[in-house]
Amino acid sequence: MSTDASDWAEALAGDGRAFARVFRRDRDRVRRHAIALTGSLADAEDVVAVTFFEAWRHRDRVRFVGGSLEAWLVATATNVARNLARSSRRYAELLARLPEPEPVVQPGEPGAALPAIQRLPAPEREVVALCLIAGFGEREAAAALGIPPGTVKSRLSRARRRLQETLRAEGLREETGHV
Amino acid sequence: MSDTTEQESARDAALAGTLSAMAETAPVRRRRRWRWRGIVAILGVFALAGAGTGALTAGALVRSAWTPPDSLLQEQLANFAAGSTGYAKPAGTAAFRHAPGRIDLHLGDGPASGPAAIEVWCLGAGSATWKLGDTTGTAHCSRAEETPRSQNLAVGTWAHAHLTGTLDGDVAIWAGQLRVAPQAAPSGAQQNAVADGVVTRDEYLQAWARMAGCMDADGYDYSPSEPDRILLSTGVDGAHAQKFDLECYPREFQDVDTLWQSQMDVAVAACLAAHGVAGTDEDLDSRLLQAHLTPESCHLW
Repeated sequence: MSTDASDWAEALAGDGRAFARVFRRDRDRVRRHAIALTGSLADAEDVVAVTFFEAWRHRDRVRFVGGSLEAWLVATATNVARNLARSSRRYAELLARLPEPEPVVQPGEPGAALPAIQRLPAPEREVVALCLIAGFGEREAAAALGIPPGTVKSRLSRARRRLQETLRAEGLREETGHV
Repeated sequence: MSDTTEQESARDAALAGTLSAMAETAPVRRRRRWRWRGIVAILGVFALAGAGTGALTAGALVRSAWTPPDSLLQEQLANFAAGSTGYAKPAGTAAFRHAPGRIDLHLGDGPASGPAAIEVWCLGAGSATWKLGDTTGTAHCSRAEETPRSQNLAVGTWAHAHLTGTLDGDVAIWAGQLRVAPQAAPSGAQQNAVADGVVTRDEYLQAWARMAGCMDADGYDYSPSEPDRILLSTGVDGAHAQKFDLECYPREFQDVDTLWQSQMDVAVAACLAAHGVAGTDEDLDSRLLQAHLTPESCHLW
């Protein structure tokens, strides 16, 4: 039974089928995460593609957690989704060659919290995406990001506080607007 | 995992084929020891250097013909080096060169001991080879790259160290020492709490209280947002983050927290399994809640 880690090693040695196996193993998780972040199936499909392109571009620094690349991919997808236009430019030619997404799945609730998450500093945004959106545990996130679990916890705490403050402030502005 | 699937969309099939072709046409890269960083810091260069060109993006600038002056390059490379090491700052006199030819530079005065870093930035096609102490490296670039390539060096005696090598093409190299802000050592109370390898709920709460007291000394209320949760948490604003990260958290809570989280992960999973409930990716409290269990019914503490 192959794992992401073993397939990655084979892909690095030039086995394209191994990279395809990693893609097929992890794409659904990345896609769900991208839909939650973007609220758009079409954008999510581009996030998925760019995330895997980025994985190959950074192939000598990806991180495995328990043999899986999922957490790293989700963290990368978060950053890709944050500025999809910029992230996509690098791969415009490759993206243009892919067939249009098939609109068979309706995305869920649009990512209402995305604007607030996007305003978080990058380190906090990554742990929020991994722990609060994608549902990884703090230790998995720590391993994926290469930081101590305590740092994940402290970043998460700060991010929660900032998000609460941001959302509260936006709520107050909305109330004021109705007066 | 099979190599193909009958149910995938045409787009996924095409993407799998594209990825497969990528791996087959561009196998192992040479730079396996390098760590790449984000693009955020480089924007600072443009804010400084391109005051009238705020719309420029990092990539656009690197791809443009404009080259930042060496003084700015040197400063930015130092910032890159420091930026990846927590609360570090450049320390001492760094070595820097942005011109083709042989490198023969000395790091100047600096801390007697500490970490150091080498940053190489491809501003165009070129290559670099270098040696600093026992550390050697090479880089080859076919075009301008958006971020420097970084190589962190272990703690050692780097003052007056000798950087040698060769630059070819449009490549800049920086080597220098870093002064890392020290983290507080665990307090005696925290060491006692983890000494037996087990953290009790009381020890966890007491450790949090000591950490909150440490923050409170700085005028910051660090009460947990939900004190009954298995894992306590709250936020700290940017003005107090350094005190939290370097002082209060490591001194009073970090080791206790790490051990407690490990214990609770195991205990919650065991409780769920004992009740025949599959684990989920939710946080610990949510996992129990979904299974109609509580910390008390699971005898977590």
